[in-house]
Amino acid sequence: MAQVNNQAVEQEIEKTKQIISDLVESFIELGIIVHDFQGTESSRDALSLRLNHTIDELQKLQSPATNSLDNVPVPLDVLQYVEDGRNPDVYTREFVETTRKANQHLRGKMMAMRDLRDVLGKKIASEFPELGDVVQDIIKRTDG
Amino acid sequence: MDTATMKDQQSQVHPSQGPPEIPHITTNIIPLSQILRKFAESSFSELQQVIQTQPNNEAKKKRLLELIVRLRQEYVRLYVLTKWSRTSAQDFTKFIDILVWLKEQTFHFNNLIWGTKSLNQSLLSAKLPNPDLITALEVYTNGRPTLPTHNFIEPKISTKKVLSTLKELNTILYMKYATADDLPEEFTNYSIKDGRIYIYTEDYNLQISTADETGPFFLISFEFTFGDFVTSRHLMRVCNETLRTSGFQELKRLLTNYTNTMKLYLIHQKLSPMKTIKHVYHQDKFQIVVHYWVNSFVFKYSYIEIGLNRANKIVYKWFRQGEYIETFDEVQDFGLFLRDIYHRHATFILDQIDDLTVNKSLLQINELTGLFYFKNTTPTLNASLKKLNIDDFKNINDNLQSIRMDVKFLKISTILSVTGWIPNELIKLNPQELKKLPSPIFQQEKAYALTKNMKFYTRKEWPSNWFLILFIDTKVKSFIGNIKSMLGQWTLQAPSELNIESFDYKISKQLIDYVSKKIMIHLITQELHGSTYKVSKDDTIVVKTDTFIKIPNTSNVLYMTFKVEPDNKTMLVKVKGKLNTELTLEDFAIDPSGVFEIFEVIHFRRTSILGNIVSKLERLAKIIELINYLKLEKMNLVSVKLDQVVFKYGDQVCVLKDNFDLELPANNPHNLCLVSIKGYLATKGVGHLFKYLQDSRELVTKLNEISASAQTENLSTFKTDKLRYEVVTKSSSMFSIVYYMGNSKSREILQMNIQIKANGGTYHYFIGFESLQYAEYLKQDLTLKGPLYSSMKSTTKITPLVNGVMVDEAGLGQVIDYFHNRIKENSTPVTS
Repeated sequence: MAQVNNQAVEQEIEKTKQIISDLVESFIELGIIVHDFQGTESSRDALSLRLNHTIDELQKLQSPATNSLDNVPVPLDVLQYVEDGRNPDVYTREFVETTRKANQHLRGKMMAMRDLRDVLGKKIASEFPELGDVVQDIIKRTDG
Repeated sequence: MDTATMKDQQSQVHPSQGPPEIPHITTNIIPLSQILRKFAESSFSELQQVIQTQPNNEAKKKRLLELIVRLRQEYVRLYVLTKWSRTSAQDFTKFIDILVWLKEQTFHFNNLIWGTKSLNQSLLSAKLPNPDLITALEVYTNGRPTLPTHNFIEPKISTKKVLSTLKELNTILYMKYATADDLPEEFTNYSIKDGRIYIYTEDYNLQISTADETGPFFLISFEFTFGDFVTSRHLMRVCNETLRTSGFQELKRLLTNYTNTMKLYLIHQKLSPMKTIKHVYHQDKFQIVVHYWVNSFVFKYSYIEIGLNRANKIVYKWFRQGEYIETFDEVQDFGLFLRDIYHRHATFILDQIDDLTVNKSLLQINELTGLFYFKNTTPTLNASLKKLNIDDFKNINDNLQSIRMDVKFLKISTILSVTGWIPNELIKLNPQELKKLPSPIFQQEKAYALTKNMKFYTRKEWPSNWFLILFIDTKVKSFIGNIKSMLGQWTLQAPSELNIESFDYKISKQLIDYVSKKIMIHLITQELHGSTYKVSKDDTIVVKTDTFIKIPNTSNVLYMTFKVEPDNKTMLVKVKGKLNTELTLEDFAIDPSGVFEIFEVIHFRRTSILGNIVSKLERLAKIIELINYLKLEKMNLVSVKLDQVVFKYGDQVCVLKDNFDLELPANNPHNLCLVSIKGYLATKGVGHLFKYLQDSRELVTKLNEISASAQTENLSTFKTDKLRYEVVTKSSSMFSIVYYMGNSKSREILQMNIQIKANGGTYHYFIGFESLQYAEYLKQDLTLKGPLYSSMKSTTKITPLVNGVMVDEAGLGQVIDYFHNRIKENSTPVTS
């Protein structure tokens, strides 16, 4: 199901990519037309034609055929990154790096805690034998 | 808590279900579709705005161009974003979720670490120290721990060396001590041995020694001779310091002070459990003040001062009520000593009291507490003890006196109230009134102070205002008197003393009788004032008759006796007298020897006791007087009673009633002039009355006749001009016959006056006329030539005068008749 969904999303994104690519093309053409605009009837028609085409494209963009793109999350940070003209993939890489570090840090803590737990549990069990069962229970429950 | 949290989290884990989902993060994440839509809408509106609003010229073209260029750039970025979305978007959100979850876990771990740390701190107090097993073992085996020796080597000195050193030391001490120049006398009893000087004094022994010839002396041991006490280290230090700097004298002073302090302290210790005394230990003054009889208000400031004398010896000073009495040097047993002091003090106090006995009880002092008490006491006495125990001792005699008096009062007042006496608490006599009491003690200056010892009693049956006055001093004095409140002041009247000194029930009863009699005698004699009388015994008064009531023919004296009736409310009063003449009264008993008796039962409270008796006696006197006179006049006594005498004169009867009211029978001619006679009786007395009655009989009879005929004649006809007449009594000796003549228009009144004239023993009658002009015809009869004179001169003695005639008794009737007839004849109306 998720796979189907993903495919639909990918197709949709691909489609959207095409539309945006067309739009960029349209804008370039439109720019040329405007630049070369002489005020003649034909140029006016050409501009109208191109402008309408562009607006059609915008229309496609504005109201897509499916709502698959609703499930494509874009973090604001990424948006900001693109806005600033930087490569979002760089941001992705940095983020992954950060996550990895955090994971390692946590893992270290977990290891240390487990050791502490074992040492402390052993000591408690030896000093207070009556607590042995409780210690065992705690170790059992926390031993992921 | 953190472990608990962890436990909670862990407990949520179930291996069968796998780990929980990582929470999904949605904040700050926007769907791509939304971005695309907004972008498209914004682009469209921008294009629209530029195309529609801008004027159609170069500027518009330029703006449109700029917009297109910018949009294109934007869409390139959007393209990039979309491309990124295709490759990374899905995974990226997962990363975000993971990172957030990791951060959260890290946070939990941090909490866990902090929690562990605080657990460590909070369990710090639960930590047990490590047992010092080694030392414990030492104590267990050796009984003591092995302390560090600090390299101390135990000396090994030979006995010989010790002995020789001691001997040397002894020699040195001999020399040093003998050459000491400030040895006090007390330190001369000493011995030297064992390298020490043993000094023996009375209170303490001490041992001193020195190190060598040049070294100072120092104190080794000190002990008291009077007890075994641990010597204080501080004392040793201070002594050594003193010995070093100031020498033996100072040491002695120090030790003496210490000894004295110790002794005082020991005394203080010994005194502490003694409850009957109160002591204050002044350490700074070397003094203990022992107050004894602390509960006694009267003998406060009685104490024993334990202190030092000039010779620094402990002495006991006795202060009795603040006054120094004696000093005692040696006190072996303080308890015995105190008992001796108690006894001496008590004896001293009791010696100052004049009389210790109060009504068979004996005043004593409790030697332990210093409070007064009574031997053979009664509740009343106990109540009064309080006053003795709080009042100033100098008032003791007065207080005892007043207690004695109170006791006496109480006793007497109990007796009196049981026997029906009523106390009066209101009466207060002022000094002047007090002096009226017939006893010398009330005449002195300060007599007023005695009023508190005075009580007033009355009885309800007594005359009001009479009181028994009891005065209780050393003796009981009693008086009776009449006490009235006048203008707010109590005034005492008629006081007299009763000779009663002790009271008991019997006497109290007799007293009622006795005092009642006393009062009666007083009341009676008060009514007898002016008379000569003598009171003999308690209930008899002898009165000299003449000075009391004049009763003719009686013995000189009257005996008045009275007897209180058993009900104590009334008394029988008897008056006894003797008549010298024989007299029989129908209603008054007089025995043949002439003794008579009047008696009456009189209520005490009556205002006048003798009133009735006196009036009876007075009547008796009058009767006797009357009877005597009547007898003298040879009157015929018809009957004699105490209040009524009936007698005859001539053939007429006359009654003298109660209080000599004259009463005549209806047929008595003297009725004509009864009013005048009564007046006459009142002025002239009964003696003249009888003479008058006899002498005027002739005239009055005649006048009666005329009067009687006038009655008939006057009524015979009713003609207005008819002669009318009447007899008028003008006085007892003057009568008139009034004639009314003429008619009513011209009334003529002729008056014939008959006047009785006494001349020696005989009587003459003057018959005269008034308004003679109405009867000219009578004038000739008033002359010696008249028919009257000539017809009567031979038989009677008749003398014509200017307006009438004088005639004697024999011719009186004749003359009156003559004139009467003449007038009647002459005044008969002509018309008839």
